[in-house]
Amino acid sequence: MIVFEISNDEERFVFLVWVLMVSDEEACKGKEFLIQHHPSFRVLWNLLSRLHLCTVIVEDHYVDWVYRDSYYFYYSSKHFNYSRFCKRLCIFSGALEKEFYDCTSEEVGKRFIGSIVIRPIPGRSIGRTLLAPRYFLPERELCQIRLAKYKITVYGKQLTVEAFPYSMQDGETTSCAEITILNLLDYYSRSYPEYRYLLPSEISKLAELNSYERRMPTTGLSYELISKIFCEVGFYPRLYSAQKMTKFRHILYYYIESGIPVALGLKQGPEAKHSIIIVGHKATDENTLGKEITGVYDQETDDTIWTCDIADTVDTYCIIDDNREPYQLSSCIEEKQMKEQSGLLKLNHCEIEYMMVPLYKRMIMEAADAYDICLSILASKKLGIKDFLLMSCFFEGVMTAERTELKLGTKEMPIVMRLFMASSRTFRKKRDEQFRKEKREVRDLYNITVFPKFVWICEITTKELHKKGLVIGEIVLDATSSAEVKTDSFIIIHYPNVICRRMPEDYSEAKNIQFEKINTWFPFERFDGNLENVVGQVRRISDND
Amino acid sequence: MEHTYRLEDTLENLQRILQSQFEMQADAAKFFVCLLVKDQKQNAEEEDLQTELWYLEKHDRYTTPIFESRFSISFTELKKNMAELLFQQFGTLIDDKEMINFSTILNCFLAVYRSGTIIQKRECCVYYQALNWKKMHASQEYFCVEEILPKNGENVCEHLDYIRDKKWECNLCSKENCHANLENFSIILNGLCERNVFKKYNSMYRFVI
Repeated sequence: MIVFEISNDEERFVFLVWVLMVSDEEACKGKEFLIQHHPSFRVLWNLLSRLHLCTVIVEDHYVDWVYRDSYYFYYSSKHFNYSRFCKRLCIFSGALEKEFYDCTSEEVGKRFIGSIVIRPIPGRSIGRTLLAPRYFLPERELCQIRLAKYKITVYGKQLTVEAFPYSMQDGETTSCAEITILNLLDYYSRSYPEYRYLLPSEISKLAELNSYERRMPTTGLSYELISKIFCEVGFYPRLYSAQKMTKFRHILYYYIESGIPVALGLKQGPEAKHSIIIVGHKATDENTLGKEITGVYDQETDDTIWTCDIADTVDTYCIIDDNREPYQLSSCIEEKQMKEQSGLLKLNHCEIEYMMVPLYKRMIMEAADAYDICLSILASKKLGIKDFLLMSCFFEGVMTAERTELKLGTKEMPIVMRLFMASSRTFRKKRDEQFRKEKREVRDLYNITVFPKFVWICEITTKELHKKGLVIGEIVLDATSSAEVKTDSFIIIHYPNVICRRMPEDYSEAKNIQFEKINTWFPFERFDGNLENVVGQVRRISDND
Repeated sequence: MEHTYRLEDTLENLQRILQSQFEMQADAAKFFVCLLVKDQKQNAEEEDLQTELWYLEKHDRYTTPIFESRFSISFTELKKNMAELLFQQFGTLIDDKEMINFSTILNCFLAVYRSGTIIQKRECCVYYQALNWKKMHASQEYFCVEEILPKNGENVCEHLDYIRDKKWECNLCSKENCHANLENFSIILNGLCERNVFKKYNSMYRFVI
C-alpha cells in the first residue's frame, strides 16, 4: 500500500506525475504544460486542488472490471504492451492520525471523499470515479443532485460514498457516447434492480448490430443509437430534439427534478459533437420567480388563470462531462440569433441538439403533457382552484383586508407551480412523514388512496410560501395515463381545505367526482425525495474535522 | 421586475385573453396576436396564411378546424404597449381585405417591433408615406425620398385627422398646409435608419424586413 499526503502544489505535482506515469521529458516542462496537453493530469489537478489537505491511498494491481473488459476485447490484441492492471486511488480528507491499517472503517469512513481508477492508458487514464460532490462544488453553493450509494472495500475497510459515476473516454473502446451510456447504466443498475450494467464490449456488440461499418476503434454513436441501446437493456427511453421543441428547457428541468439523470447531445462547432449527463441543478433563484407568467384560458368560465413555473428559475445544471471534472455547473441559456427570434439553446456555449431520457416502462405520460393537464385542471370550472380558494378557511385567516379581492391566480399574484415525477412509494413515504403532525386527516386520505408505480405531481403555492418551502396544494396525475385522457388522469387534487381523490375503479365515474372537505388544514412542506441537497464545502487550511 | 407573459391557445382565444386581461381593444388585440405569431415564427407558411386570413375576416366566431390550431406567444408589457401604439398610429393601413398588403405591412411593423423602437409622433408622417409606397409596390424594395413625399397639388396636409387626434405631430404642417420637402424628409428617414427601421444605400432606402 502506498500512502501520499498532499498539502501543496509541489506534492500534488509529484504525485500526479508518478501516478499517471508522465515521462521525465514532459514532467520537466512543468505543471502548466501538462494542464494544457495532458487531459488526465488537468482533471486530476483541478480535482485535487479543491482539497487543501488530503490523504491518498494507492492500491496497485487493482482489477477494474470495465478496463479489464476493454483490455480483453481490444488492448490485449495490440502490438505494444498494455498492462491488465489499474491503480485505484482512495482519497480521504485531511491527514490520517494513525496508520491506515490501524483505523476502523468508521474512522476512515467519515473522511472518505471517494475513489478514482487510473488506467494504464496514456493521456486518458481516468477510469471509474466515484466522488462525493460536496468537496467539488463551488463553496457554499447549494445544488440538488441525484446520487447513488456505493460500497467500496479498501484494504479490508468497508466504506461508502454517495456519488454519481464519472469516467473519461479512452478514445479507442469508448468515446463520450459510450461513456455516457456506461456512467448512466452504472448509476441506474446500482439504484434499481431492474436494470443491468453494460460493459464496453457489450455496447460495441449492440452498436455493431445497428451499424454498417466496424465499431473499433470507436467513432462515437448517434443519439438514436444511444437511445436504441437503452431500449436493449430494459429502458423505454424518450428522445427529444432541442430545436423542434419550444419548451425544451422546461422539459429538461421537469425530468431532472424527477431525479432522472438525462443524456444531452451537444454540437461543438460544425462537425464535432459531444455527449454529457445532467444529474442535478443549482438551487432555484428566488429573485427570478414570477418574471415569466403563463396564462391559461378556460372557455367555460371565460376566465384566465395565471401561473409561474419554478422551471423558469433554474438555468444552471450540474453535469458529468468526461472532458472536465465531475459535478461542473453549466448554464443552459437561450441565445437569440440575429434574424430568427426563436433562440438557440446552449449549454456551455455548445448548441444542445438532443436529450435522451431513460424512462421506465410504466412512465407513459410525458412531462409536457403532464404540465398541460395540470394547467387545464387549475383553470377548469369544475376542478379549478379559484372557487375553492374563496371557500378556504386557511385563506380567510391569512387574507385580512384584501379578503374580498382574492388575488391568487391573477397576473399580480400568479400561482407558483413545480412539476416532477416520483415513485409512489417515495411520495407516500414523504407525505406520510410530512402529514404526521396536525394533518392527520389528509394523511389518512392519502394513505387509503391507491397509486400506480409512478405519479406526476404538480405542487402549487404562492411566492411567499415558496420561500419558506411550503405548498398549498398539489395535483397528482397517473403516470401510466396517456395524454389523450387529459384531466381524467388525475388521482388527487388537493387544494386548501378540500381534496378530491379517485380510486382505480373511478375511471368511468370521472364526471361524478366530488371534493371532500378537510377540517384541519395547513400548508405543508415541499416534496424533496428525488434529489439530494448538497452544499459545496468551504475549503479550510486544515481539513481535519 | 419586467414580466414576460406566455400564452398558448387558438387565435380567437388569444385575442379574448388580450382583451380581458390586458384591456386591449378588439382590433388592437387581433393585430397584436398576428404580430406575435409572425414574430415567434414557430409555424409553417400555411399557418402564417391562416393567421392573416383570420385577421382579415371579420366574423365573430370561427368553427373551421384550421382556426382551432394552437399558437404560443410571449411578450412583455413594454412590447404590448409598442404594438398598441403602432396599431393606433398606422392601423388603417391594414384595414382592407388585401392579404398581400396585410402581409407586406405586417412585415414592416415586425421590423419596428423587433428593433424595440417606437415611431415618434413627428416621424409618423414619413413612416406612413413609406408604408403606403410599400403597399403600392409590394414587390419593390428600394425607394427614394421623392417617391414618398406627399403629392398634393394644393399642398394641403393629407393626414390632418391624425394630427387633430394628436396621434401624430408634424413640424412641417402649418395651418393645414404641408411643407414637406426632400431635406426634412431625409433627416427623419436617416434618423429611422439609425434605429434599424430602414436601411440606406446611396440615396435609396428600404425597409428592414
